Amino acid sequence: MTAYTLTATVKDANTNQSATLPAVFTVTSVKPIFGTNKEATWSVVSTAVGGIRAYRGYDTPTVGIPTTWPGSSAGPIPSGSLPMISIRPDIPSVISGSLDSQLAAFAKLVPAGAWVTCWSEGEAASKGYTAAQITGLHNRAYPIFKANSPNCLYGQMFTTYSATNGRITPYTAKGLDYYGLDVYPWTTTDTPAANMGATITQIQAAGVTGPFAVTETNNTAGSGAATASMARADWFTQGYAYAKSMNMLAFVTYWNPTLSGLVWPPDSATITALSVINADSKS
Amino acid sequence: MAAPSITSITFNKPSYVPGDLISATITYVNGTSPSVQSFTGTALDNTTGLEGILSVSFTVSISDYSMVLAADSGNRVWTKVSDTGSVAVFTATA
Repeated sequence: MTAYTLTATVKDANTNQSATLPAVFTVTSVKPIFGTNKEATWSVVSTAVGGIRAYRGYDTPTVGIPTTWPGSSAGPIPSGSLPMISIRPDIPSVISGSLDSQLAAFAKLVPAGAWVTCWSEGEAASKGYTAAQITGLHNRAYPIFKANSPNCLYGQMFTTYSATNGRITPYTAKGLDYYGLDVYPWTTTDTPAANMGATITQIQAAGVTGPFAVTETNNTAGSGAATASMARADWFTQGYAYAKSMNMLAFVTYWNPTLSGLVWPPDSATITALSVINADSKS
Repeated sequence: MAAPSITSITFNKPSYVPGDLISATITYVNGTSPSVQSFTGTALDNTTGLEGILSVSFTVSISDYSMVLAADSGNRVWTKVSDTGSVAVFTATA
């Protein structure tokens, strides 16, 4: 638990006299919620590491704004899990306001506590959107989700690779409920702390203080898209330790049977490491 | 003339977890400034049309406009969501 001091100041606009009063509030540290994504066959991973909680599902641009929760390609949501769902509506249409009613209808379906976002990794150069489009998307969607599902968490998810090409700070929407990081090593010397730290620094440069979460991580994406900088078990162990130190809300791994480097199951040391992380997350 | 003062700060929850919305309610009293005003009495003689005049000054205490600010040791962004002139509500993310 960390204690913070709020200092209120009242200043007389006429005389410039002022008064201050401090008050203490506390923020309890929470351990990141551990989980994984749909493609890995969530239940297989869950069984292997002792029962996990977070579930990350993805709707495609074709799905657009789903008419059912969580959308046809993001579900089904495992019973008892914490859903983290991303959708991909047409961005110019969202910004124009023409999809407001559809977003509101979908938002009404979002359960309390669930995580949602539009266009995870939308800032990535490969997506081809401008900073104004991405911030405009979130600025339009956030109040709609919060008005129709006040206790959901609406945030923004980045790939940490975007920290290497200046696509974090200008793409950061302010005032969201969380800022997710999809974390993969980009050099042979990369560490989880350096990788995430670089992205967090650039998010903070936009005037945002968090909270942060790891919304995807693994240490190779296969097909040469990323480079393993250390043993996978060490990557997860170090990454989780850093996430805890930063009071991150979640630590979600990513597995994919169609990407050679991300096929479950990994080596036994990695499964053991993930089991330890999962147990700590739930303790 | 009186300086402004803050009467109380209350939070919407006893403790927060990261990601929570913190709502802080600040109750305050505006400062006051003196406003000197003049009172003039006039006696008019209806026959001669002459008049006697006497002016005296008195002071009225005027409530000033106050600006309310909030900051915390964690460098959070605090947003003022309402202000009645005596009660201001700020929010931030834990």
